Amino acid sequence: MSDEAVSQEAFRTLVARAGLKLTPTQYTELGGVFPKLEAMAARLRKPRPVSAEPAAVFSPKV
Amino acid sequence: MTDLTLLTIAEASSLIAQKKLSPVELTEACIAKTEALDATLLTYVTFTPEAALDAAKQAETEIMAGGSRGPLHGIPIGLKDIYDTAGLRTTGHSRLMLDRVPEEDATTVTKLREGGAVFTGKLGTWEFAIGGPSFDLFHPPARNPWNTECQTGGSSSGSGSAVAAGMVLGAMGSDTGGSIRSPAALCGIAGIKPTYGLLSRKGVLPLSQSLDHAGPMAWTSKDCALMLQVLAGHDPGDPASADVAIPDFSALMGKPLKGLRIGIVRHFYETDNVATDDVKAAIEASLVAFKEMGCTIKDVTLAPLQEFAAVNTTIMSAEAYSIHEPYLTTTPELYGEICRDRIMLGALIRGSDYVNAQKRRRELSIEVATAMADVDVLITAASPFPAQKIDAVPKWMMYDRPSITCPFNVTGLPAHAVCVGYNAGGMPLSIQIVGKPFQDATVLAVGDAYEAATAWRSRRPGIALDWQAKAAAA
Repeated sequence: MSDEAVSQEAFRTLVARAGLKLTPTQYTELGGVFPKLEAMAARLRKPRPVSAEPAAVFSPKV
Repeated sequence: MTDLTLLTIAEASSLIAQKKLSPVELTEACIAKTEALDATLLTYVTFTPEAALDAAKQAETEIMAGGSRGPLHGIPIGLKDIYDTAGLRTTGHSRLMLDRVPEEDATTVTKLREGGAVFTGKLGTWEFAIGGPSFDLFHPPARNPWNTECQTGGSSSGSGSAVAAGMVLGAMGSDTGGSIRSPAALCGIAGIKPTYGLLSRKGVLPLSQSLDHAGPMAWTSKDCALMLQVLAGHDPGDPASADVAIPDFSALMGKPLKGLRIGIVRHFYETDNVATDDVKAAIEASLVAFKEMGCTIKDVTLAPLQEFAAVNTTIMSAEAYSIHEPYLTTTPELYGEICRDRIMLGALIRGSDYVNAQKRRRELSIEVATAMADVDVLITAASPFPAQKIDAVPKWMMYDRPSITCPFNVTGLPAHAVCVGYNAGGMPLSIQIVGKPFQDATVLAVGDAYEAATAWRSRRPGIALDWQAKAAAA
């Protein structure tokens, strides 16, 4: 499957899992934006040590 | 005849303290201006002139009796309509909460009230601080007083417009990805997103709790400092509130900037989100002014804006959906289209991606702190472009152009928008001045010094100047 097809498959799955009731217009529009949201998420998926902590905004020590 | 509505808070406060200006006269002037202009600017969703006059009369009585409460006593202030006000509806500019009347004030509203501020009403916002500019809400979006065909920026849209037009002397905004700084920039005023935790968010309708900041908007940096002085302070009712000593936010003002070390983050607006030429030229001119004041300037490179935007958008979308899920799944028809669709997309964010965003947020916060080790402040653009036409704002711009303001929501650093001139069409252009954690006084002082060294604060929108003649003619 192409990346586009994978993304749309993921979109359909996530919409169903979230229980979103979308109008046909919304379905088309959000489906078109979803790959951009996915690209942002992909940017955040990086190898990190298991000890990596989520943010506390300010690090107590730099 | 002096137009009282064009006074700054500092000027009006000084005159009131000397008993040369009546809070009632000042409030009446702001009410008259609002009545003359608001059919055009559309800033208020709930205008309360009677209550404002009552508060002004009370302030005048107290002041005449020698009981001044400080620099905001008798000063007309507007509230973005996400700040809870006891007995007065707080709608989030949404049909969903059209008749919602809180029983308590937000903590910041209480602080302003105790400081003697005169509330004039509730100012328009993008719906729930994310959906706009929208034309399908119960009240249309605010217009930019510099050109009423243009947008104000958002989400604190009514606040930006009302302050620029002089309908109020100060206003409250909120900022999750730039919602104070964007309208401040596009409306040519000053607005600070304080350090995360400095101002209570209790009683402010949330969009994304880990990114939301409350903050003041006013004509000058000095006025923002005066408001911040009243607003700041630990609030046990806000779990993110920082228990830190509150400094004098005006203490550094008036002192020379000589020796201040400025880091300029050019790549944000030269490559990551390319600014228009007029914005770039105005930033360069501002750097010349800072050099003439004795500042040193060096280039600073941070992670690309796209990294910050990915973090900000992922966190904001997920947190916003968690807040709105009960309503979006039952009464989606009560939302405007833009707000509904932007928030609904957050339902599709996976839990692991949300946590990844929070981990990346930590990394970025440390990276920025390290990059700031040998500078005092950062400067970058506050908006990559001047205000566009109000009907030409792309619904999904946040996915196409990474926000130039969001890095400082991600990192929680104080970030202050300051006007640095106007383009050939007369529209305002601005920079952000960014400080280290809890050094809000420093960024305000840098803004104040710049404003004092340049003439930009002497220019107001035409609509804010000729309103009396037009009102008299009408």
